Amino acid sequence: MDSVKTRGETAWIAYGPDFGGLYPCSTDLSGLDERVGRVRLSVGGPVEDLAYIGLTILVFGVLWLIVKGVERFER
Amino acid sequence: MSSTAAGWLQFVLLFAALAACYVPLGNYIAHIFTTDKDWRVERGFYKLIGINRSADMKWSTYVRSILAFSAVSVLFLYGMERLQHYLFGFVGPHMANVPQNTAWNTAVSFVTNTNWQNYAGESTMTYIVQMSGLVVQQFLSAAVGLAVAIAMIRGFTRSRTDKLGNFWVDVTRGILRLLLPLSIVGGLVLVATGVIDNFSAYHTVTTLSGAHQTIPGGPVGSSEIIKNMGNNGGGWFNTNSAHPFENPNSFSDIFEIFTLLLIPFATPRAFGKMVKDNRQGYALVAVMVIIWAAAVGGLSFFEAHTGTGGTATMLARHAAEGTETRFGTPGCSLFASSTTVTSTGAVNCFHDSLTPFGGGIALFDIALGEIAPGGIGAGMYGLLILAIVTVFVGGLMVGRTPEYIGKKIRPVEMKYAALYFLTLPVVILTAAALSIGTKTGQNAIFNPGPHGLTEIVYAFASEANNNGSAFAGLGTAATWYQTLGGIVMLLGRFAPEIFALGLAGSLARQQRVPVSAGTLDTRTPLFVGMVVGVILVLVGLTYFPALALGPFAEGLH
Repeated sequence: MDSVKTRGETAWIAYGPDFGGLYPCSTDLSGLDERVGRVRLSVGGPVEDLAYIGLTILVFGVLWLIVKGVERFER
Repeated sequence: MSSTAAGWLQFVLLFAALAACYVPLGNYIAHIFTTDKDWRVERGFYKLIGINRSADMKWSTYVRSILAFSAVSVLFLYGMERLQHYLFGFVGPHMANVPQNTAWNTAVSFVTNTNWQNYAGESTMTYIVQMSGLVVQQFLSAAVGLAVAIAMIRGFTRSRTDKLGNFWVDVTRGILRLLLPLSIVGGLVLVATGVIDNFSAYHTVTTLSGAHQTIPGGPVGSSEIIKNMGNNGGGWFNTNSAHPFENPNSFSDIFEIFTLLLIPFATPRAFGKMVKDNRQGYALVAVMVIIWAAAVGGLSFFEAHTGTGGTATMLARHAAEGTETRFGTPGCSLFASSTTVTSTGAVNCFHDSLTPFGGGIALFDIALGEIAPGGIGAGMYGLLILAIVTVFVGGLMVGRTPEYIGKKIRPVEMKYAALYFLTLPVVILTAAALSIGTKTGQNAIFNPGPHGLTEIVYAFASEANNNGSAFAGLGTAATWYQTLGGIVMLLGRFAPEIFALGLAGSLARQQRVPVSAGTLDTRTPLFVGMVVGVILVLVGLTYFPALALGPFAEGLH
């Protein structure tokens, strides 16, 4: 029986800091300080921050409306 | 002793330890939430945050308090991660600010008790953010889950009222009287077994072959305990409990499994005590034990059975890929089944490497809604709702009045139960369908075919049920999966809690009905069997297509 994994990628994929692509992180701890200095500025972006803050408020707003809807259903 | 025999011995010891704690811990939990006496530190805290501790809340006020508290927590934690380089790098290694999508996913993940991790802790988060951000949320989110369960139980114990207790008092007591004391004791035990606990900077050493290796540090022991005790699962290190600094030996391994099962298995006793009928608690804990034991047995069988896992498995005579050699296949099976029947999500081996049917069992455990014994608090209220469904179905079948613990199960209660049960499949399967049906979602699928489908369904089932373990092999760090996953975690955590508390409010408004000849006895082995049957049929029917096209198709290939 062949392996169930049909592609060459390893099964255990390190989720660590590369800050780009599909895997933003790696577990490689060597040269951490240099990488921190390089990456710090590139991950800014107030628009994206605002988008995630807005998304948080939106989802909790929907949940709030569900509570209101259930209250109305009760009456 | 063979590894299989050692595995079963571990299971028996674990069962005995949990059984020994059932009565004392369950009684203590009941006492915490029924006593009128406040501790001095609690009174000081209520005064500090301006809480009127004697003000009982309606179910809707209770749930609004949860939502407001959690929304603020998400934003606060997000801010900590985004500013960690500037504000929180003064202890331990310096780290960059966490990217937005990872920061948001992580903030949501820890506030919802999921602890899904798209990052490696040792190379992404500073000590201060891990300690005062993530670990604090591990305490708070666990206490919120327990508070919801207690409010749900009050729905049965109270009559002709719409009040379910005070959310702030319940959370404060849960933390100060239960989670903190147990975590201090458990943390010391873990450190004694060899789990590291320090504020050291990382050390770079030269290995025997001349290469350089960086050795991480951190206050791991004090966070490791609440990771398991609070059914959180978010590890200090990327490899979680497979890392020797988090889980150094067989004793620490079995102790971690014990701590992640401890409170969920004791909560039915608290329920029995609070409804003044301990046999009701025994019936529910029997349901939990049956499902947990079946999960352990099934997963252990498939991991040890060489015919189901492919060529490598047959050559090794057991499923060795992705298994931590210190714990072996039995240790992996016991941990994997225990972490997926609770909402913990910690791992000591790699779930993507489980055999197809073994992985299918892990996925099925999560799809059960994690009620056996489930997450802290969440398992209890989930199982109570399934018991209500069973009473209704059983009552219809044998012509008995649908009543549970002195409360009538009317159409309104059944509507709440149906909404509760339907929320998770709708969220999980919709998110999985969107990921499979869109180019953006497909780009991150590295294992096409049945295995890829299993990975996607597992990811969203784990997130929606607040488990947090990953099948991996799926690019969940892509913005699509980070963002959709965050939404799934929020809806999967809070929408069911809204319906559970609405149901509790509806029960609390009823007057208790006396037991009559027409009442179905819910303390018997027959009822236990019926609840198990209802759970299996409901979950089986809901997720059968996904299970058939994923792990079953892969296993039968």
